[in-house]
Amino acid sequence: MKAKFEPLILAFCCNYCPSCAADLAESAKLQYPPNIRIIKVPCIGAVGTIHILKALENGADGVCLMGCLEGNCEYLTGNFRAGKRVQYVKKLLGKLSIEKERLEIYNLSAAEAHRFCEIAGEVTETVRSLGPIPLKIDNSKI
Amino acid sequence: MFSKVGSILVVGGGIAGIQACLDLADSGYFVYLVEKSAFIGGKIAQLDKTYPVNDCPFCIRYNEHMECASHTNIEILTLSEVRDIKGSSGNFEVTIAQHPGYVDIEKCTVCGLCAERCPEEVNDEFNEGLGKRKAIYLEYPKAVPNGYVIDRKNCLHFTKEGCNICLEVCNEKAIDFDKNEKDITLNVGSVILATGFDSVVPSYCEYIKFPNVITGMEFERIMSLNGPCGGHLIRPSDRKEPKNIAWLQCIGSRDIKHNYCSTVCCMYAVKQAILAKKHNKILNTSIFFMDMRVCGKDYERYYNRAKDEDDVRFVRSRVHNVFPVDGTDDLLIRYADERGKISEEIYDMVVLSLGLEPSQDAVKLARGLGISLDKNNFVETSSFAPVNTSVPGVYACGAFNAPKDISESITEASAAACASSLNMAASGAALHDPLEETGQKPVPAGLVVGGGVTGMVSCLCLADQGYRAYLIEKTDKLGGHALKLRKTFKGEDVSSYVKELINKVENHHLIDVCLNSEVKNTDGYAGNFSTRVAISSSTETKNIKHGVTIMSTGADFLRTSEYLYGKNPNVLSWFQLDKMLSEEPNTIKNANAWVFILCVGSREPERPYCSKICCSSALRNALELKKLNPDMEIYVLYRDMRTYGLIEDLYTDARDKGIVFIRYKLDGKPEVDEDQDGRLKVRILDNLLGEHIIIQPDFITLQTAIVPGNHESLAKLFKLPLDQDGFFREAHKKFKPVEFSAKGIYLAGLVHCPKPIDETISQAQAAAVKAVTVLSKEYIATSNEVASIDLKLCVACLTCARICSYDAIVINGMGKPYVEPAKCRGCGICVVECPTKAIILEHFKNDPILRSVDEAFLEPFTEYVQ
Repeated sequence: MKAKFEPLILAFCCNYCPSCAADLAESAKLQYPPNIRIIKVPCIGAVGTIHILKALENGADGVCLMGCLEGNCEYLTGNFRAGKRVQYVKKLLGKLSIEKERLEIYNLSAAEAHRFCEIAGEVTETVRSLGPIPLKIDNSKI
Repeated sequence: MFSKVGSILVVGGGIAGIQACLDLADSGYFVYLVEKSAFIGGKIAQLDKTYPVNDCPFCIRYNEHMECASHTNIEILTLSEVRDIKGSSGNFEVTIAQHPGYVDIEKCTVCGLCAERCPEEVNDEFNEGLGKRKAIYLEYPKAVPNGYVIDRKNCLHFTKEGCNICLEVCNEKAIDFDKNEKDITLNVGSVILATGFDSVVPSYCEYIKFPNVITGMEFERIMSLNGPCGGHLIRPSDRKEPKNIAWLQCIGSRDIKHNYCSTVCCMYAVKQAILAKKHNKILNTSIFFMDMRVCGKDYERYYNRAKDEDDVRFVRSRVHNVFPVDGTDDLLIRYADERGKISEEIYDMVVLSLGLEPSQDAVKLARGLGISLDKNNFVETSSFAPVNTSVPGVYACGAFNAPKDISESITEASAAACASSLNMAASGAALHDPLEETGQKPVPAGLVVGGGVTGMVSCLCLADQGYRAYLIEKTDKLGGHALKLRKTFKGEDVSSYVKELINKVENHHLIDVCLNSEVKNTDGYAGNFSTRVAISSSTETKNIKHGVTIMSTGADFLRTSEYLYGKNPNVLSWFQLDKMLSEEPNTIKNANAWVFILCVGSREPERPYCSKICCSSALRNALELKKLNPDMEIYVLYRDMRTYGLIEDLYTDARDKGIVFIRYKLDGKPEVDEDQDGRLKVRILDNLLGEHIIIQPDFITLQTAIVPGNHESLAKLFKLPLDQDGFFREAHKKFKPVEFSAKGIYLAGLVHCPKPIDETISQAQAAAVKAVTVLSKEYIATSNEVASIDLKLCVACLTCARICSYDAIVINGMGKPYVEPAKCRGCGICVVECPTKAIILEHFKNDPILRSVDEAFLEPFTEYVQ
């Protein structure tokens, strides 16, 4: 029997609120799917197009960005910039015939550990329903 | 080692004490922090969330706790009590008794083995007795100082002799039962009392013994994630989820014995109700209150949100008693509503909003020092020197001065730090400890924008510590709106204070007053600003170099057209009445009736905030009128009587003197008419009678709202944020009340939100001490977390300069961008925006994000998921 598809999702978390929320979720022993791998970044605005695309190219089935709530960016505009960039990368994905839903950005506050887990669940479900990313490169053949 | 002469003692390791320590230590003084319990942090660590931001207070303050513990200029003495303070300002001799904790904190690794094996279980004070802890314990996982302590009262080694389990299991050999209490003698120049509050449990409150009647603090612990219920909202008796909860306000406040308002309870009850709703969406929450006193920045909005969005029920009432319901653990509340109708309701759980009183040990200490206390044992202070006690060199801040919330306590703590450092500067004890940082020296001067009371106090604080201060005032004289005020709520004369202040400022050799001037341009970063000021009388501009900026441009009053204001000469604004009372009392002496209308323009949909000072100013003037003519009929038309804190006295006094209070609602505002002869008539619905009544007053005084000044251009110039109401937005509503997120710029006074003169002054002092923490540094602190541009790759597209939120990237003479290190915050946004990848972050070289993206897939994944 074929094993159930388990997506791999890369989550870029701003070092401020979302990472705190993730830490809080851990210390509160809340459960979220193990499919999520977190990369802490100094500001969500520091995540570039290259990082998102590289993640997908490297085999992530989905990417999600987590920034602070709107207006709460430690660096004033980082989360807005990230929002714009995500829209841009979604367009690129459209051109590559990759589902846009594989990429999403969320805003949450440091106290929202539950929301963090919710997002993790949501993203995993969405990507699981989309199936594996059609982009996986078999490195051995190159 | 440097000499510790000229150090300062801070008593109390709560939020105020910690803040005072940090501000003093950062300004270069050596501080001793004495804390009675085993850990610093005080009550803040027990709170689940804070209003009005719903943030976790501990998460935000944890850094400050750690900083306090590791600061080279701070020595923390926990488990210590001040036994005696002798001497006078500049030279106190303090005797401290330090109890042993029996665990060597240096050795303890917080492995927790000792607590796991400890056989003795006792009630946990941190969880308000709702949970259990061992006799060897850590208050909560990240308590500071981070090490276990043994509670001698309960430890079996001491109570029953012989238990040595913890001693045996400790791998680090950190436990030593032979330690004894030791006496420490310190010589300090100033003392700051930040001893906080205790909760009042009044004698009439017998129902507190029922298991499901809990205190506000117990409720905080129940809701808290690290509390005894793991963050599940359950009631103590049967651990069931409650379906309805009642909050009873003013338990132990506003009664005969405690005739003051505890200030914080309204807001914390509203907060708890909102948060409880988040735990359980179908929960019914009712708050039984007398007046809703939510008079701080954004508090009114929070209250409106609770009412309108979160569906919290507010019942204006007096609760008679709480009875148990037979056969269940439920509780029956009997209360009288506004009309006096008695009703009964059954609740699963009742939360008491207990009042605050000064902590008993502090009262004893203060009495021993000869500090004068008021009838409620709060420290007697003047509105003009809100942190100075009657003993020179001893300062008090936080809830020991009057009941107050976190942000005001923090402000006052900084103010006390400022006052005590002024005291030390006078005695020549300043201890500037060089920090190991490189860079340029800060410019030893401050720019203060706005020459009201706030600005002048800030200037004096800076100048008295030896820094030059530039005071920029738009008009042709100093003093601002305070010139219109007559008295504070305590009855002190404002005008003579303002005159004295102006005199001091004008004659201080380190203060440059620039009247009729305006800021045209400003540039730079903390420690090195350059501002161009235009003086309206001349075409010349003046360039000022300064290290810090303090915004104190104040606020304005609402020019209303409501209630015939401006049409009938007998409808006065509050400052017109102030003026008449001081200049021509005889013209108003013979009035038969007088009406005060409160909340004119405040707490309305277009201005959803409370102006905070109107209630007290109306009552003070009403009492003054009553003194002039005891037969005058005085009516105060109000929406909520917000005589918070010690101002409650005025309200009691006013009722004793026969002043009539009539409450109106926003949808039933008083109607003011005049007849052909200009005689006034007020029609209002009396809630007690349920009928409209008509008053024919000779005069009407309107307590018009405080509105923000025209800050927009200034905000743009200094790149500072404004809030929805048009006041300046501070860095954090609760914990950083005088700072902006930009370094080196501070705010004080009415630019922040409406507030009375004592709070204004303490904020001005607080802003000054923050400024001194920047100015007193040997070098401008720049971190290495900055971006730099590789000019070989740069094509000068200027994208980076355009997008930088801090204007840290400037174009140099060569037409190429350059990053100013002191302005750069290291966010990395320019790094990804740069199309040629010419920018690198010094601490983020070789794109670690990309590396982690690669590494994230190295680990085998599938087994891990299954």
